Amino acid sequence: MEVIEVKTGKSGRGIYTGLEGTFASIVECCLRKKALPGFHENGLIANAKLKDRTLTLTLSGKLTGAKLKQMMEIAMPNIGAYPDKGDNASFFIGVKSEK
Amino acid sequence: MALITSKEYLESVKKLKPRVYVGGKWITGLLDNPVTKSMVMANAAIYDLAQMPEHQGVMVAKSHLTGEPINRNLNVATNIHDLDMRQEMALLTSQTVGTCNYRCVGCDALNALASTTWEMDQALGTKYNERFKNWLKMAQSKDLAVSGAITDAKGDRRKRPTQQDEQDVYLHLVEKRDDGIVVRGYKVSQSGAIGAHETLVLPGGGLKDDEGAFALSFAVPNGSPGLTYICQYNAYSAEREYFGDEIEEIGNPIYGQRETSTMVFDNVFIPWERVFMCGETKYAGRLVTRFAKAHRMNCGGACKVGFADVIIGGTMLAAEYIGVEKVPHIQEKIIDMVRLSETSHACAIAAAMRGREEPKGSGVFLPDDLFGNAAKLNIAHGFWEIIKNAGDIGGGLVVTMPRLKDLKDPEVGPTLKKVFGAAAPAEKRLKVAKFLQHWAAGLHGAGTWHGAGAPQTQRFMFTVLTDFDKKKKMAKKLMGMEEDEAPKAAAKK
Repeated sequence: MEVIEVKTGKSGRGIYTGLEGTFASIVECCLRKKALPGFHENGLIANAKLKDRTLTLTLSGKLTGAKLKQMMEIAMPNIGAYPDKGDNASFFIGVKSEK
Repeated sequence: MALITSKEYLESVKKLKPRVYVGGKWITGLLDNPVTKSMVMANAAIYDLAQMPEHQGVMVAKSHLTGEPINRNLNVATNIHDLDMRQEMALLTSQTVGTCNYRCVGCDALNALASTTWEMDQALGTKYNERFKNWLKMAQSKDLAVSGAITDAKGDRRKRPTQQDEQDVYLHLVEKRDDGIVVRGYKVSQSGAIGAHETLVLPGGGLKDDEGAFALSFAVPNGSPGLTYICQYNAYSAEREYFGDEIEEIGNPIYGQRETSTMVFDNVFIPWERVFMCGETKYAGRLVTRFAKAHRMNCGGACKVGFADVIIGGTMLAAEYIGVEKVPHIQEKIIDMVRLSETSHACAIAAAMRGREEPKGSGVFLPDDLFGNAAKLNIAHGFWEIIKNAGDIGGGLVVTMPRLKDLKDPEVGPTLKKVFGAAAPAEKRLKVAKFLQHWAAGLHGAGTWHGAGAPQTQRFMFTVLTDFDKKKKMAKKLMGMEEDEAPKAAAKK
């Protein structure tokens, strides 16, 4: 299983686990398809960068930390990653608002 | 948390955001649209059954991977008892919701995969079975709702998949990468896929050597970008939208008709860990046949029997409400309904009892093919007879009735109560007539005919599975007739 740590805004943090390849699926969605799982509006992803095992996402609009956290809580299970506990993540996603 | 509650399932559904189109609208929440909500509520009821002590023998199994209690919808049958309880689950769920157990196809798909991935690994040295077991462990630990997608759109039936003008009519491989595969195409008539957490995709049928691009099996999360669900839409969908919260007006108020969708895969990425077949054409037909033998036992011999049970109950009430329940020809028709449904159930039980490990060494038990096909073929024809009798005994009212709430209309209500009052008040008569309308004039007749494969597929299986020469020899022996000599004339030619 893959453990993925999601950091939203300045202080939000969540741990998710999924089968191997889950992080690759998220990268595929965000980098290639420019889409966040579970969200179907165009232009939501303003920017996405992958460096090693860290995906950095910038979402368009003025979104609070709480809103970003809420959005990732929807995005992750829609691609087969479920909330978990622990701190042994091997993949990382950082999410911030465009403005 | 190997067994989740309906409440937990519904909470998870609030976060499921598949791209779903229903009758001209894009759905923002599955529980916000009355049509998609009915499908989700049926799934929720199935989760509830597993929490009820009186149903746990049927609904709960022990995982062969972890030893933990799991929902039987995620169980791989490893003995005869498992097969028997599997068909009993199909019966119970249909009796409970009067529509699909939307986890049923996924259950039969995962049993076919448990068997076939093991066989592939043995013969080819692949790692499909290991991957599949990892996926299944995860699904069991989360008690995921898993649907199954098998039927391709198929296009022009005279042409093979590679010959189609529109390639997407068969789900196919677009790209093979280091980290996974990319697929595109259509899967049609997918019951309950919208409200599932994941869908298991299988090939649509047997394939030839040069059709490797179509030999695909994988598990896909419901909200994967590139995946769109275009839902069925019919008079019953419109009726449900029209009545909104007044669901008491509808034949099956909470759970509705069977809700299906066309799944559109637009270059969907599937990581390798979720891929269970990729190009092994030799095993595609075997995988689908194993799915079919499981599904024909369950769908044909148990699920539709559960439907028949509630139809028979409704029909008897209709007879009582007009005072004809003791009329001999009415009783005879009711008995015929029971005969037709119980014959299919007997076939399902026989299919389970004659089940066996397939292939040897896999540890996976599948039902007997002949009895499973007999169950399905019998109910395909029998179900029309059952709903015909329901319409017969229910009377013309089944299709000519006004709305239930018209009884409360200050102007026409008092008249309608007089018109339809009989041995029971008009309210009861109309309520049961509406229930029978759901069946006799609904979607389940054709649905039962085609579900788990149209009857021609079962007829074909009969020709394959039946030893007709043996039967002829038996007849000749009994008649004292000698065996024919080898056809010399034909040999000379």
